[in-house]
Amino acid sequence: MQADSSSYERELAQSPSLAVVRDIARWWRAYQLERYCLITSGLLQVQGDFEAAVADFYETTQNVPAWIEDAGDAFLRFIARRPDPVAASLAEFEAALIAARKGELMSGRVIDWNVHPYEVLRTALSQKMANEWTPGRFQTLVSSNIDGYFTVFEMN
Amino acid sequence: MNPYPFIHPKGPSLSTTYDAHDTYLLEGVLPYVDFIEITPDSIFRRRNGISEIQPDILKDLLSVSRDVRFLVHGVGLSIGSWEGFDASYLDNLDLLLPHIDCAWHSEHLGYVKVGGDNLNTMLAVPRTDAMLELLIPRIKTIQSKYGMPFLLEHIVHLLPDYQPEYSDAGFLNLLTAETGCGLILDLYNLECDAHNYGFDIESFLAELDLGAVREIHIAGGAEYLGYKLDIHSGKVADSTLNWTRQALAHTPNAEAVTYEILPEAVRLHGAQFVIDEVARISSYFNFTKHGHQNTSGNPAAADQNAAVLCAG
Ligand SMILES: [Fe+2]
Repeated sequence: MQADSSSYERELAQSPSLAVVRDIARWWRAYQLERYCLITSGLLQVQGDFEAAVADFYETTQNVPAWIEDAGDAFLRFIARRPDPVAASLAEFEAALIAARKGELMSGRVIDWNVHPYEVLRTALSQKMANEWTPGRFQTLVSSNIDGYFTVFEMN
Repeated sequence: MNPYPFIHPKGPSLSTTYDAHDTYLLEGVLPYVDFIEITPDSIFRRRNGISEIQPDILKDLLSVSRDVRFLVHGVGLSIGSWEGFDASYLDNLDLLLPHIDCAWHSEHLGYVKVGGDNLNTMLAVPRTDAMLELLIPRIKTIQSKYGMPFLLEHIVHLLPDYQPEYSDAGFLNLLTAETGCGLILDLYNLECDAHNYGFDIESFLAELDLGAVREIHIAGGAEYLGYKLDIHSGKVADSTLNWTRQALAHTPNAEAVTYEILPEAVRLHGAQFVIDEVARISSYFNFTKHGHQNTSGNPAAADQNAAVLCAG
């Protein structure tokens, strides 16, 4: 039985269709996350890091939920923990924005930024990399109770 | 004697997918279809960790509930997972079914989860005695839980088979004979297999107990790296329509022919594309809308639900 299983594994590993199946899963994961986390995905795409980030997320996260709302929130938490502070702020911001739009963030959430949030949002949504973002100390307050769901404060 | 208690005297009707809120699409296909196929995995959403039917889609379904019956077609049950099927899929079914007049429900004969991990694709089960031992009690559990027919759909095989002990049709014949479950015959899936590794559709159909087929699926897809994928993204090819015509001549219990299209493809092509395709398929097969009296037993409940949702 052991020998049979390993010969099947060898056959599977050599099968060209295995790569196709992997691509389908990769494509589907990226497509769903891209639609759910539009802004963060936009920034990662401009930075050329989106596909690697999705692959990394699925490789390092146990039991990623099937529901895109749950998987998407987990992906944003994952990006928020990565070393890039701008992408981390944006992921935290987008998670808060999604919750605010669903009416689930009445108390509000504050997110710190080390560059101007509007410039990052413009980059992510236009898919055009800015020359550089204006550095500084900024905060966004995100809440279901705010018109447009967020407001930006410059802290300097 | 026909062992299947569901001979449809009027012959098959047309059906199509409705998985995203789009009243233009729904109204456009309504003159052609007697059934609407819905997928719980698509029409539910998560809020605060709880599943719920998207209210706008439920409202759409209720608005046509006097005119069509519903075919619930899942993707998330994962009936072939070794560790057991995903019970949360049935929880969603429990939430959905009281709202709609469901003619039957169905799933794919495959698995989308391994050890709790989501594959984000669906794989075919091995055709072995061990697999039959897993599947048969699961099918029976589902059948006894819901007082309606349960159908299984054979899916494409992209990966090499694991030491098959039965032919594709032989395996399905055993499942239907042991459990009395019905089948969805998907001609496009068969064409994918024929294209990808030379699967013999004619032999499959000759061996399959076609009396168990209650629904036929058709779709159009795409090719990738030379493989034909069951992606449900476009028009139905002439070859698929031809196979369907041949199959219909030998499937006396087929009540529905469902044109499947992903909501993503509807967004890409627009609703009119789907409406035109449904109209074309309807005229190709000379289907006429049979019409329904709402047989859910409780149309008043549907009205009440609609009133509650509209008020909300
Ligand atoms: Fe299908």
